[in-house]
Formats: sequence, structure tokens, C-alpha cells
Amino acid sequence: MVDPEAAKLCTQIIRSHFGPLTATVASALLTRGRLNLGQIVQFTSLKPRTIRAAVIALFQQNLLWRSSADEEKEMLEFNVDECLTRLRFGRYVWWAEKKYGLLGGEVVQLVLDHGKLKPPDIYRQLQESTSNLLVSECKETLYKLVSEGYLRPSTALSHISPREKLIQYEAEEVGKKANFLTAKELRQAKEAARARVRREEQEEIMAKNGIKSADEVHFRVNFNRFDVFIRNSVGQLVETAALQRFNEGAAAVIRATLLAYDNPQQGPNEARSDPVSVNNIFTRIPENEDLSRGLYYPSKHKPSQIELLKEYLGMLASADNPSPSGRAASFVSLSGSKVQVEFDVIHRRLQLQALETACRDRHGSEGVRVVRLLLETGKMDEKQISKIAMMAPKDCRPLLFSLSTDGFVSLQEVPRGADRNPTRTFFLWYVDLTKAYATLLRNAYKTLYNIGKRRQSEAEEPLVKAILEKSQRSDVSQDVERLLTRNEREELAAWEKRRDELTLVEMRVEEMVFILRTLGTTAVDDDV
Amino acid sequence: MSRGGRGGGRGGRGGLANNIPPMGLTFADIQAMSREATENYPARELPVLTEPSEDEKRICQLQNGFVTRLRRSQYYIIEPTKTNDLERYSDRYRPSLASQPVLKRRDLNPAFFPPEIFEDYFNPRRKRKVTKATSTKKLNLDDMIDENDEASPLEQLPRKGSDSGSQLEEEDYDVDEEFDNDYAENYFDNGEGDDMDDLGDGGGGGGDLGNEHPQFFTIPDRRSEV
Repeated sequence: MVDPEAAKLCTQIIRSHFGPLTATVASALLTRGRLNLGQIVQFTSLKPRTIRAAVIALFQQNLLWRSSADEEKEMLEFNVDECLTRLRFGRYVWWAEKKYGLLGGEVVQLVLDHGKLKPPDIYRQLQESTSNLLVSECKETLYKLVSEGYLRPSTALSHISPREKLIQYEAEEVGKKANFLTAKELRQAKEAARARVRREEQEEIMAKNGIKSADEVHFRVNFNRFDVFIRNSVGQLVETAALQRFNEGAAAVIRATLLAYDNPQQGPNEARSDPVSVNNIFTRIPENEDLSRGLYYPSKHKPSQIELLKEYLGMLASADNPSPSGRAASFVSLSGSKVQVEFDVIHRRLQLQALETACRDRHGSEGVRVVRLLLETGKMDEKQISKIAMMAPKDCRPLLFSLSTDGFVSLQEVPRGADRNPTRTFFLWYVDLTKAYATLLRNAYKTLYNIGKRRQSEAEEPLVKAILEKSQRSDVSQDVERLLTRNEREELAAWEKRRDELTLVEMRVEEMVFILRTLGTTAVDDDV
Repeated sequence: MSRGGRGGGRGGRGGLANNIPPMGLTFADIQAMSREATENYPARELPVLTEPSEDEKRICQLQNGFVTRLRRSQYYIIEPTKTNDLERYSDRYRPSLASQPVLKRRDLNPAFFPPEIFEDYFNPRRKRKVTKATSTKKLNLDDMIDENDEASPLEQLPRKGSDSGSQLEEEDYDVDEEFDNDYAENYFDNGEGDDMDDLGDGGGGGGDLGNEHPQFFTIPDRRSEV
């Protein structure tokens, strides 16, 4: 089940994209879990025909799952991740434009508009919107997108809820053995079921057997692939981190490493990349990049590029500091002549950074001091904290309590006696990362919801609403200059500016949600 | 006039849903107040929006484009309503409800959708197959013995409720069949056996009930419309 803030945010997104009727259906599914059509009718009091239309639209956009075919009642389930990803669509199209040009961006935009499309439909729509477009160009772009994994085929299996599949496969595994099962065997059955679901997903991605024969296949956008690139270069999260920590040379080296390692199968949650040889990286560094600018060589001997590269890699791997803190600060790991990018470590650092920024915002640098202290040392008593963090006890106590209200720190009671007398128990403070991230994520959802709501209510203000309606008239949209008064045009421009600012803020907050949710799923498993 | 005197003070009366702050303050005053520190509230420093880069502007443009395009696409579900306002000149230029595209069957792959919902949407007049998952024994209250008529309907109801809960596609609750069963026979005590010696009103009341044509509550059953 999804928490209420995420549910509200999803309903908001659906409302702005698909209308208030569809939003009512979505909200019923989000608050009450799996439902079948009759129950949706009951809970939403909408006409069955409207509900069917909404359900079909949501299915087409990959937002709903269904139960498998052999159950008697068709149950529908909402796909929360997919809904939250809709906030990133602008970024995906931008990245596709950057890599494949305007045509690539248009193809991705089209596929995102419709959820999934067949290639002939893609060509037809593109030709309608752009003149002088050759089908061969479209085909080429499409081929490139599919072969690099940005688009993937969508099969009927992907519309069945993964939990259903998990339960079904687990039951099959358990059914294979005739006797009663021990706990260990049950666990193994569960693992096997999970692996099978994952394998099927991979096979879907692999099953692109040539574009020419696959005109009947529906293609949809592969979010994982785009997420990988957002993580690597678009949001410049990794690069910027390297830049801030070291210098431009290091950032260039990391960029080249990420280019060299490019596996279409892997999603953004991989713990580390496949090993890449140093020579491979060397070939990806652009010619004009001067790596020697960032390193100081005392001797007159001018080192070769590859030596410089090795130096940078050594720096990035914290080779001089093999302790745990050094490893926690590294970007890559070296083993022989192979380099692996340590995504796990990098993700964790990014999340900690997000946590510290949020803490600094609310509680100032003293709050960050306390949080960092507790992260390093574990659980501590309040007196010790005030001593080590060099704060007066009278400041420390309210600070700790306000940090705990916001979920950054938590309390652990250690009773001295069996009666748990509060005067004789130790109260230890510590940072529970899972809880802290969960609180941050919830707050981010609330913020996103507020932004969306503000945008909606700005558009519904009477003056703006009237102008918007007027500007959508067909005669006015042709001839804006004459038919809208100067005041109206100014109001419209002011509203558009406000809307763009809100979208900008939304995009920035969404980046944080991306770091916390998409990059962090190695730690959290909802199904367990 | 007293009316004029009491009516003075634009927006000051209750009953006007106005956003004007009370007591002669204006919005500028309130803003200034919130900027300075008072005892209860510390001074606020509102964050300033950093200017967007070119990339960010393009991304916002694309994101807003999605919302605008979806509004006019077939995936934005609306219900056509009829307004009885006067027809106006600008109506012919407004995007009418008919201009909103609808979902087309040929654009969608039926394998992805739940079959019943898909078929029922694009084929609203087909005969829906009524599935009887478990046997529904219709309650025949006529067969119930009179002495137990209070006990047995209550006993039977929970079971019938759980049966009908699991099948939404039952047969139509045919209005015509009503006259045969249910409470018809057990509803009225038409007063034949009553001893009416002492009761003047009771006899009249019983007589009233007995003489009229039996009134039924019919709860329209929409389950078949689903």
C-alpha cells in the first residue's frame, strides 16, 4: 500500500494529465488498493462507461496492472512508480534531444504521449506533424533508440501486477515439492519466484528481434535507461560530485568512465558497474582535454595522458586511503587494470548529501553537526553529544527534540532495571537512516503536491481562467494580437511566467525524489 | 437613512466572501509585519529562486507541453454535459466538447487490457454473459413456515448476502416476479383473526391496511448495468 502523501500526489498528477474523472478512479484505487470494476463503481459513484474509459486510458499509459487471466474477477491495481515518473518526462525528452537530435526527442515525446505505440503509428504521426520527413529517417532514429535500450517492447505480461506474478510463481515452486516445507525452503521458493519475475523482465527487454519484423510490437519508453543517464550525466550528479570533490580533470575522467561502461541492461540501482579497462576509458577522453592541468608534477618530465589518467583514477579510488572512510569517499574501485564505478557508494553519498542539506535548511549548521556526529559514532547520550559537539546542554536538548520531530534522529531507551523507570533509563540518540529518508521523501511528496495545487489554483483564479478560456477559442488563437486586449495579454504572460517558475521548482524537487527513491532502492524492499 | 448608515464600510460586513483583511489593514502592512520579528514569530527570510539555466528552461517547456497536449488528447476523459444557457456568439469558436477526441479501438492492442472492460466499452450493446459462479438458490419465503417467519428471513439473509457479494452478474431482479414471493403473503395481517371488540382505531387501521392494494418497496437493482 502506498502512503497517503504519495497517493495524494499521484491523484494530483493524474488530475492534471487525465482529468478529474480519471483522478477520482485513481484515488479510489490508491486509497483502497486492488479493486474490480464493480467496486470502483461503488466507491466513486461515477457512470460505469466513464470508469471504463478511464481504466482503458490508464492501462494504455501503463499506469494500471491487472490480475492474471485465470482469476475469475479482474482486479485492477495502480502502479505508483510509473505515476511518479511522469514528472520526469520533460527531462527524458530533453536527454533524447541531446543525444539523437530533434527527431529523437520527438519520437520519445510521441511514445510518452501515448504510453506505447507501434512503429507504423509512430511514422504516421511524425509525418503528420512535421513536413518533409522521410520514413527512412524515422526508421533510423527508431532503430537507434531501440538498439540502445531507450525504447523497449511492451508485452501483455508486463500489464500483470508483479505481486500477482510473485505469488503465483511462489505457489508453483512450493507446489513442486510434495512434503511440508521448512522455513529455509520457503525462503528459497520466494527467492526463486523473485528471480523468475526479474528474468522475465530482462527477457522482455532482450526480445527485440529486429525492427523490421517487429512492426506489430508496441514500444514503450524504458525508464530505467533514461534514469541511468540522468544519474550519470544529465543531472550531472556523479560528475558534479567529482568536480566538487576534486577538480575538472577528475570530472572529465569520470565522464569518460561512464561513457566507456554502458550496459543497456542495467538499471540505475546497480551496485557497481561492470569492469572496464583503463585503455577503454582512455579512448573515450576527448582529444582537447588537458588532464595535466589538474595535477601537479614537480619534475620537468611531462607525463603521458595515460599516466595522468591512472593518477586520476587512483585519486578517485581513494587508493591512498584504504580505510572505511576512504572507501566511503571513493568513486571507483581499481582492481588490476580494471576499473569499476562504485555506484552504491556514490548513491549513498548523494543521499547523505540530500539529508544534510535538508537538515541544514531547518536546523542550521548545528543540526548538521549533531547529525554527522551521530552518523559516525552510532548511539550517544545527550550529555556526551553536548560535550563532543561543543554545544551548551541547554541548546542541545531542544535541538535534539526538534531533530527527532522531523525524523532525523530517534531515541533508544536502555533501561537499567526491569521496571523501566524513566529516571533510571539511558536515553540514547541515533540517526535511523531509513526513517530519515522516508520522512524526507514524504516531505518531498507533500511539496510536489503543494506546487501542483498552487499551479492548479492559479489557473483557476477567475480572471486567469476567463483569459485562458478566451485564448483557447479558435479565432483568438489564430489572431492573438488583435483579439486579446493588452491587459489580457499581460495577464496571460504573467500567468505563464508563474506557471514556468512553478514547473521549474517542481523539477528541482523531483531531482531530490529521484535521488532518494530511484537511486536508493537497493536498501528498501517493499515486498518483504 | 439608517440603511445607508449601516451599509457603510465596503466589505466590512459579514456575509461578503471577501479577502480583505480586517481592521483597516492592507496586504502591504501584513507583509511588512511578517518580515520584521515580533515576540511570537522570528523574522522570515524567504528563499529566492535561482535563475533557470537554458537546459532547465527547455525541460520545463517540454514538461508543460505534455500537460497541454494531454488535455486535448483522447486520454483526457470528460463527460459531455448539456448547458441550458443562451447560445452565444463565441460558442462556435470555443473548443466544443465534441472536439475532444475519444479512445479508438484500432489504436489499442486488446491483449494489454482486461477483456471484459475493453469489450464492454467498445461494444456497449453486446449481451453480457451472466456467470453463475455458485448456485444461487432464490429464497422462496412462501415455503417458509409461518411460525418461523421472523426467524428464518434473518437466518437466510447473511448467507444470501455472502453469495450475492461474490457474484455481481446475477440475473436481473425482475420486477414482475415480485408479486409471487417475498413479503407479499407475510406482510399483511388483514385483521381477520383479530379480536376487534375493544379497538375502534385499531380496527379502522387494520381495515385500512387490509383493504388497500399491497404496497411494495422496490429497490432498483443496478447490478445488471455494470
